[in-house]
Formats: sequence, structure tokens, C-alpha cells
Amino acid sequence: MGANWTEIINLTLPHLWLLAGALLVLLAEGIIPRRWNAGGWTAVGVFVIGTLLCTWSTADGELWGGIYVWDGYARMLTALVMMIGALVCLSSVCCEEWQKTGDRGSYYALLILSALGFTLLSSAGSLLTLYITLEIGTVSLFALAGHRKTDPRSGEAALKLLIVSATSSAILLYGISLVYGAYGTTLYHQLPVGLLPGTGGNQMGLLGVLGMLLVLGGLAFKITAAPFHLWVADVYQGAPTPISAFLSTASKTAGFAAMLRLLIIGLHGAEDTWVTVLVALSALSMVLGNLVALAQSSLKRLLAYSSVAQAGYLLIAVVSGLDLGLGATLFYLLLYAFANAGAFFVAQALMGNTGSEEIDALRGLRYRAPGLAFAMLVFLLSLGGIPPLAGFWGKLYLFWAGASEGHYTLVLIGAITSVIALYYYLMVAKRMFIDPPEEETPFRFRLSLSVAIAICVVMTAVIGLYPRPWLEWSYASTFLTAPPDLPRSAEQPLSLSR
Amino acid sequence: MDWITKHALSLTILVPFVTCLLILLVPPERKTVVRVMAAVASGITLLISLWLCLNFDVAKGGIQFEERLEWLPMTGVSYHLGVDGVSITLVLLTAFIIFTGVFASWTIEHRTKDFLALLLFLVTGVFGVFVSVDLFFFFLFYEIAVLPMYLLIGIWGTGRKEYAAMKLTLYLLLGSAFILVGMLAVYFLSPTKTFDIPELLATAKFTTEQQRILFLLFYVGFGILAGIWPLHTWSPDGHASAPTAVSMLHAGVLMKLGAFGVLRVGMSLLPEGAQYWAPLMGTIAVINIIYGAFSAMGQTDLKYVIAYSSVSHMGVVMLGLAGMNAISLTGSTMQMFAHGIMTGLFFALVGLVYEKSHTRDILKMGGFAEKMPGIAVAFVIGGLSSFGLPGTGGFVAEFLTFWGVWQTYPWMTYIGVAGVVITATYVLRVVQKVFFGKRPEGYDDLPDARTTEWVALVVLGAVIILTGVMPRLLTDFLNVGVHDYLRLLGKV
Repeated sequence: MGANWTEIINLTLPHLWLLAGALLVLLAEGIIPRRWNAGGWTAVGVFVIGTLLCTWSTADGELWGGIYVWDGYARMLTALVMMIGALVCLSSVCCEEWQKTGDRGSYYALLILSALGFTLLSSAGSLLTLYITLEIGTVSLFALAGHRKTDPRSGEAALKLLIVSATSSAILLYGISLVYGAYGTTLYHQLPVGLLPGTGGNQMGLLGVLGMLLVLGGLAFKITAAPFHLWVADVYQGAPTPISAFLSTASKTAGFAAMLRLLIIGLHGAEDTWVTVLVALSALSMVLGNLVALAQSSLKRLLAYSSVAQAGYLLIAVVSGLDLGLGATLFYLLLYAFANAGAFFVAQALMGNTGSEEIDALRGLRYRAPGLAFAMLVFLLSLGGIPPLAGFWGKLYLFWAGASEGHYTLVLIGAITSVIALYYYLMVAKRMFIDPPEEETPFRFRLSLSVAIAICVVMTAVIGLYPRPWLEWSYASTFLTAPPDLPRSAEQPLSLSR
Repeated sequence: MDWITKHALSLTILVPFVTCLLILLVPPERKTVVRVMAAVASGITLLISLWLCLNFDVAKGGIQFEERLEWLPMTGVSYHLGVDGVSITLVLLTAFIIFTGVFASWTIEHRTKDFLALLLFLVTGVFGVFVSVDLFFFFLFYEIAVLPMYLLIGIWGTGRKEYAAMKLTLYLLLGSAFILVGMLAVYFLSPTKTFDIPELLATAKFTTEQQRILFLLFYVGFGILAGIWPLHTWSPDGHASAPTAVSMLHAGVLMKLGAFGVLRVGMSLLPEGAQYWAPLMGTIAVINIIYGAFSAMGQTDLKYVIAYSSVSHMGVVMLGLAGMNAISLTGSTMQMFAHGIMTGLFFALVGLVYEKSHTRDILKMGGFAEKMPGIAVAFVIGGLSSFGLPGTGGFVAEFLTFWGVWQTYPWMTYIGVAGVVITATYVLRVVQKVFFGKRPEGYDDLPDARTTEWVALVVLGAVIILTGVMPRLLTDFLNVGVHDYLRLLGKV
């Protein structure tokens, strides 16, 4: 609709680059000898360059009548997903789990395509773009989850992911059709007009409310909020570990990215309704995720349930309005990505060396791989919110945002369940640092995996010790391209001065 | 030199922290080097604390040695340090305990370097808590102190150490969860959106209802740390399992932090809430005194006796707070110091006895005084202070507390004083059973304390007697501090 090619390229450059990158990887894997792992390294390069492109492209704008939006918010989340992508590829280069099966090219290409879908999610400006980009991101993951072809659990994971995703997509799509039926539009921009039919109040028809709830339900699968979390543990456990890392961070980031833009731009007229629903989801996720995690003996399942709980913490900020809530969510997504991906990478090193993913296999890790044990401690404590690591600031800002809107009960639940979370995090730490090892052989893993873990450790520590620039970045990214009738002035990013 | 005098409080945090980092650079087999480094660092903090006490202007009162640095401007968090008449005594207490604690840990051979590095890291947090007058930093330093504790108990502890370490850590974090929520509520309800305690005191006005809810949050949160019944169970397990220096630091200093938090955050910010809940606080404190004393009487493990006695003595501290008048508050804050020193001495002694006799079971001991007269004398000094015999710091503290509380809630004094009698019973029983009477077989070559082991005994024993004979050394500081708090409570 009137956009010229230069503008289109300007606004979609990172996404176009990913698309090209997927082909590049296939090409590289095809012509360069296998032993050089060309596909993996090319994919890492594609993601790194993509991240740089995000920071480099400063143009803001919308395309095609607003179904695609490129603004500070999309830029930060796109960069975040790409950073995760780079780390996951880096850890995959050495991943022995599926190296022998022979189709590495497709693995990296699919990973990039999935990342493409997830990055586009944060730019989705209409319910239809939301749906399509969600599918792009998820469909590739079916194949990736089943990539450990010799392991039946990997197949199980793929199938479960397929069924759950199809179900949630169906729910989402049905909700979209109801919303369209009620208001005659799928564009976020126009939804507020439909939601506020001249009355000035928050009046929504029954059809609209039902549609909205179904859309939220569909997205709740993506962000793994309880009670939509039942697939999480099986899928994270069965999928190749780098893919579990990707699912638990990039996929969740994208889910939140899509949900936040929809809620803030599209559905702010119905805020009372969705706040009630999300408060319930948040409380349930924190309680259920943390309690079920207590009973896990597999490290990957433990991390899966802990990530359900983390979704609950994030939702505290989602319901806490624009001023503090949005920035807090972005900040937490950023630091959560490094800590959680890092923890999965440690699980990968563990599986590569002991063939087991049980928490008990971590016994005496301090003696067998001191660096790895230290890294895991950093990740767990960050997830648990212990200073001076990044997670402390993240949790603080989440709770802060919650308290600013008067959600004291939710904050209290969050604070108390964090103590439960620390119990199982510390039980892992105890295995690594206090228990004696079962055997003495030191761990061996490729340099690329250590680099990926080291980056996660450094980021977790750096954000923790010097949170300010990262907070500023997050709060500067709360600027959403929005119609002028939004209650908050959309002209200025949130000012950081008191 | 000018820089040092201006940043003396920062130095109490920085010296242990930097030493902790330096220790990490020393090769693990150079154990003596590490020990000397830790001793020097804790010695420096002790000197700084003494210097602070000498230069504290008693006539002026209020918060002194202030340092302020804007930190996260958006949030109203500032790195704001300062000490008042009460917290300066607690800084001094911390310095005494860590200085003697390092010497009490001299004989640790297993991963010496890691132990001392973690211990210094822990102390960094403890000092930070006492010198912060910004609620946020107060909380941050408190959280920093939690994790090293888990590892210190879990790795170097004795008995059911993993269980105890986990229990202690989780209880303390549960307490901090309540504190965090209360802290955020205070922040958002305050007109200027700040964590700065002096600013909050000057500007914040909370409604009666808010005060009642918030005070309860802080009381439970800090109370867990102070070992209030029935949330005290982490304390005996934790303190009995921890290595000597950690028990000393935790029972001696960190439990005081809970009581101090109730005073500084709860009572001074929320006076109406404090008045409202004072009867509850007092009642629970009395239960603490009696219940802790009876539990101590029933123990056969020497370390558990001391650990339960801490629960009982913390009851005296909390009772004094509930009394809310000049005398009871002075008594309560004095008890914080006196009990800190006393329990530090006790844990050091128990550590020594265990190290030499390899048992903590009271029933298997006897007649040790003959072989270890120095340890026996120190134990008796601690014991006398424990049940408040005149001439010891404990006497002054308990006498003032009970006298003060008499004026507010006489019945609490009637029952509370009975705790002193029970304390006398179990302390004398332990002294008699362990150090006197007939020595069982197999303890013929028990050595007395040696070289570095004397440090804790002599220093802490001397402090007990000094504060008992010349209580003004402390009460001069406490009076100004307490006066400030009473003004906030509307009692002056």
C-alpha cells in the first residue's frame, strides 16, 4: 500500500537477512567439507550479523497498513531472539546428540527460520500477522524437537509439540475469528476503536470478550503459563538440549512479545478483563511451577517447571501497566534468556559426558568440572534472584512494577514462591558443591560450548553488577508505535529520571 | 587520610570484600598466608570500628559519618551509609566477632582458602546491613549474606549439616520475602518514592491501617531472623551444625540484625503499627524466653544448649523492644551487644571443647576444668553473663530490660524473669557436668587452649567484664540512639 522498496528494505532488513541466512547455511553445509562444521558457524555468523543489523537500523515505521511494525520494542526483542539464536547455534556446533545423523544443514536452516518467525512476532501489528508468524516460528520447531532421531523420547517431544501447538493455534484462530466478527477488524490500531464504541467506557460485547480470552489462551501455551503448561516438561526433556534452550527462551520471549503488543495497543480498552485473567494465570504459574519442580529428578524437567514459574513472575509485570511493567518485562526477558539458556547448556554438557540428565549426575561436579559447576551456580542463583546477579534486579523490578499497581498479593506470592524455587536450585547446587563425585574423570566438552556458557555467565554477572545500561535499554524500548488516542503519550520513550 | 575519615563506613564493607577477592588469588596450599590475610583484614575493620566509636559525637546524636551517592536515579535508590547510636554498637560487635572468629577458625584445614573467602564475603554483607540507611541497600546486603551462609554450613558444618543449611537459608529467605514486600509498599506509599530511611522518616505519613499491616510484615520478616517463636526452629539446627566462626557470626550478629530491623524499619517508620502490635510482640518474646530456656535445659548436645539459649536471649531483646520506653529500649539494645559477645564466646568455646575432646555430648564429659582451666574460666564468665550476674554485660542488659518492661507490661516481667532462673539452672548444670565432677576414661591428655585459640577467649571475655563493670562505655551511645527512636515513637 504505497510503500516503496527502499522503505520496505529499510524496515525489514533484519528479517530479510535471516531469510537469506537460512539459504546461506544450506549452501555452506552443502559445499564445504563436513568436518569444518560450516553450517553451524555460518548460522552463528548469520545471527550475530542479524543482531548488529537490529542495532544499526534506526528507522521506525509501519508497513502495509500497520500489519507489520518496526519500532524500538520490536528492535530490542528481535535482537534478543537473535542473540539467543547465536548462542544456541554455538552450543549446537559440538552437540554430539545428533551430529552423526547427517542432516546438520536442515537443523541450522530450520533454527534460523524458526527464529525468523519469532522475531516477526514482536513486529506483528494485526491478529493475522500474529497468527502467521507464530506458525512460522513453531512449525520449524516440530522438526527440530524430533531431531534426535534415534531417541524415541525426541519423537515423542516432536509429536507432543505438534499436537499442543496445533490445538493452541486452533484456539487462537477461533478467538481471532470471534474478535473479527465482533469488531470487523484484525488490526491492533483499529481494535481500540471497536472496543470503545463511543461510550468512553470499557464496554465489550460478549463475543469480543470470548474472542479475547481465546486469543490469550492460545498465547498462554506459548509463554508456558499454567494451566497451559502440561506439554512443557515432556517436550523440553525429549528435544535435543539446544532446542530445549531455544524453546524455553526464544519461544517464550516471542510469546510475551506478541502478547504485550496485542494487550497494550489492541486490547487496552478491555484492560480490566485481561488483567483479572492474567493475575490468575500468574499466581497459578508461580505456585504450580515451583511446587511441581520440587518433585523433579531430571535436570531438564526441573528447568522446564522452573520456566513455568518464571512465566508467572513475568506476568506480574505484564499486568502492571505501561510505566514500570513493560520495561520490567523486557528487562527480565533479557536476563532470563541468558540464565536459562546457560542452564540448559550446562545440562547439555552433562548429558554429553555422563549420558544422563538426572540431577544426581551432577554430584561432585565441582571436582570434575569446576568452571561448569560455577557457571551453573551463577545461572541458578540468577534465576532464583540472589544478588549481585542479574536475576535479583529482574525480580526486583517485576515486584516493583507489581507493587506500583497495587498487586501486593501477587508480589507476596511471588516472593514466597521464590523461596521455594531457591530450595530446588540450592539442592542442585548442593549436588555440585557438597556431594562427593561418583567418579573422578574430568568433563570434556568442545570449546564452542564453553564459549556459549561463558557468554551467558558473563552477561548474567555484568547485568547484575552494572544493571543501569540494560535497564535503560529496556525502558527505552517500551516505546510502541501506537495510535494517538492511547492514554499514555506515545511521543516519548519513558523518561529515566525521577 | 582525609579520604579515609570520610569513607570510614565504606571501608568496613570494602576491606573484607577486597580481601576476599585477594584471597581468591592465593594458591590453595598457602594456608597460613590466607589465614594471616583474613586476620589482618578483620583486625583493620576492628580498628575502624573502634575509631568510629571514639569519633562518634555523643552530644549530637542522630545519624553520623554519612556518605551518600546517587545510584539508580530512576528508582530513588542511593548508596547512603550512616550509623546512629544503636547501629554503631552493632558495627563494633560485628568487628569483635569476626576478628575473634577468624582466629577461632585457625585450625580449619579442609579448603581453608574457600572457607575464609566465603567468611569474609559474609561479613561484607553483615557490615553493609548495619551501616546502610537506605532500605534498598539494607535489603541488598542482607541478601548478599545469605548464600555464603548456605555453603559455609553445608560444606564445613557438622552433624545434619545439609538439612540445617537448607533450613536456615530458606527460613531467612522467607523472612526476606516479607521484608521485600513491605519495603516496596513503603516505597510506593511514601510521597517522595524513596528508600532513604531519613527521608522516609521526615516525609512519609502512613495511615493507621497501612501501619498495622506493614508493621506486621516487617515484624514477621525480621522476626524470623531474630528467632521469634514459633519461627525459630532454623536457629538451633543451623547454629548447632555450622562451623564455629559461622555460629559465632550468625548467632552473635545476624540475629541482632532481625531485632535491629524491627527497631529501625518497623518501629521508627510505623510507630502506630508498633504500638498496636506491641502486646503481641511482648507475648511472643516472653514465650521465647521461657520456651528457649526450657529447650536448652533438655539438650544433651553442648552446641544445642547454646543455640537454644540464643533463642531465649533473643526473647529478652524483643521483649525490651515491646516495652517501648527509654529504659527497656536501652536494655534491649544493650542485650543485643551483650548477647552477641557472650554467644560468640560460647560458640568459640564449644568449638574448642569439641575439637579437643571430639564429643559434644554433655553426658560423656566431666572434669575438663582440670585439663583445660583457661577454657573453663572463659566458659564460666560467659555463663555468668548468660544468667545476668552483676559485673557482666548481661546483668546490665537484662536488668534494664525487665525494669523498663515493668513500667509498660508488668506481667511480662513477672514471667520473663523466671527465664533467668531457668537459664541459671541449665548454665550451671552444663558447667558442672562438663568442667567439674569426675573425668571419664580416655580424656587424660586434653590440652588447654593454645596460641591463636586464646584470642577469642581473652578478647570476648574481657569485653563481657568491661561492659559489665563500665556499662557507660555502651550506654552513652545507646542512650542517644534510643532517644532518637523514642522521639519517632512519640514517647519523648
